[in-house]
Amino acid sequence: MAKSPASKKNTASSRPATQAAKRAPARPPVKSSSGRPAGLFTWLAIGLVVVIVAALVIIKVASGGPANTGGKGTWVRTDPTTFAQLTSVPLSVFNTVGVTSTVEQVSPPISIKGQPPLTARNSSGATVPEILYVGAEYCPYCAAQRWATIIALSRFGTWSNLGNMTSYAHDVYPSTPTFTFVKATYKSKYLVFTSVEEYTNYLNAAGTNYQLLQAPTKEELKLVEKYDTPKFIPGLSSSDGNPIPFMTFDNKFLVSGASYSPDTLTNLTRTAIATGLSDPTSPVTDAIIASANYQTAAICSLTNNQPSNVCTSTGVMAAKTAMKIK
Amino acid sequence: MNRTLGRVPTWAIATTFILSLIGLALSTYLTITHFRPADLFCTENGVFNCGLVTNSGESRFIGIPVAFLGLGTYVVMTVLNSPWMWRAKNYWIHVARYVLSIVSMCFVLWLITAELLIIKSLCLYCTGVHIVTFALFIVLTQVSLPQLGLVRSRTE
Repeated sequence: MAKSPASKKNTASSRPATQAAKRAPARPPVKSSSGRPAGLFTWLAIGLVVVIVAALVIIKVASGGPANTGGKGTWVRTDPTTFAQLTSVPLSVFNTVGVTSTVEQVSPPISIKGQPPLTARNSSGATVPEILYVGAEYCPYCAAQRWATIIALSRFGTWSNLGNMTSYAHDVYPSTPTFTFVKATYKSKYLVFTSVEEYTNYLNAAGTNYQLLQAPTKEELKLVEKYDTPKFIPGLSSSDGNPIPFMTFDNKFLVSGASYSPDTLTNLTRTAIATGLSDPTSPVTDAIIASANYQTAAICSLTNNQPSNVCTSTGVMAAKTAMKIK
Repeated sequence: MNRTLGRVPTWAIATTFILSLIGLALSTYLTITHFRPADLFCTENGVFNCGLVTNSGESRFIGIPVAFLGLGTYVVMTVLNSPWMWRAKNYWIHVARYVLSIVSMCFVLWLITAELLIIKSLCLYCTGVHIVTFALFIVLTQVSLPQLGLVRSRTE
């Protein structure tokens, strides 16, 4: 019959004292030199990390809020007067200016051929050409471009939720007055407009870069990496990277960089620029409207020249001639 | 300080090497997608947004992309955690391994702070690297302290 553990124990304890004295003394619990068990340090390390991460999660949950979506939470809707001046430029101004800017060189969108079209479904479910804009709120070149782009697109659809913005205060052309697309929506039966404002106009907490605002999708990034390059943009070098603003109009026309210099807008207020949009003799208006006419001509070639009253207007026809668009 | 190296169990050598290889693979992928952001495959929802994290201002540390730092760390970590290096007689190699693990863990805590409180989004692959770093830290705390003679092992 096998002995039970208890009987073994009894047997051991009944050995003679001389035999017991030869045995090693019972080993004490494993201790460090300071008397702590070895595994205690591992548990302390686990506990410390878990407590820190748990505290961070609690702070995050308590503070709530989704990912960053706006400039420091101080998004300001464009006032109705400025909005109306911006989106309802008189036809006579477009036609008077044409593509003539007296003080600024205005560049038309770059025509490219043989690329797969960029399309999207509009709110009615129809597949229409898409215009993609990639820029940033800090960028003064984007600031200049937005004026003309908003005006051009206003001729094909309606804007809402445009916000006021200025470019970064400590860059070239500081605090250029403009708008932001971050919350803007655009509706048109002719096309879809998609925008990405990658960064705000202020630095992140570490002061190492501008605060990230909207991340482009991988499809949008592919378009930027393909088209915003020296292969498609004359004068661009590989060391320039992928400049902003970048726009693709159905992959048939491209914009890389501002269509006119932001210094046109320097030292002017948003209100003054918007008010001046009804004055075709203003050099600021000339630059903005000339760029808007160029972009309008590009868009007309995507919409089969619809609406016809826009696409056959004198100003747009002048732009088409300059861009050699039929 | 006792410069005699204690014995390290085989399971710890295998575990740390495998974890290092996983960390190396993840950080290599993050470095590749740093140059080719369009190749970053990641679920985007209210919690995870890899693009937002990898393009944030916090994705650089003193001007160096964090992805590069992660790759560099795991290249060194993989070498230090290879079975050959575990057998090295040089005491300071084993000190370096544990110190690197502590520094990496501290950096991971900073990155988690940035993701949760500043960027307000998590990066799936970055989180994978963080978990691997945490696991490595725990295993190395368990075996390196006794190995370096800072704590007595159970076999002493």
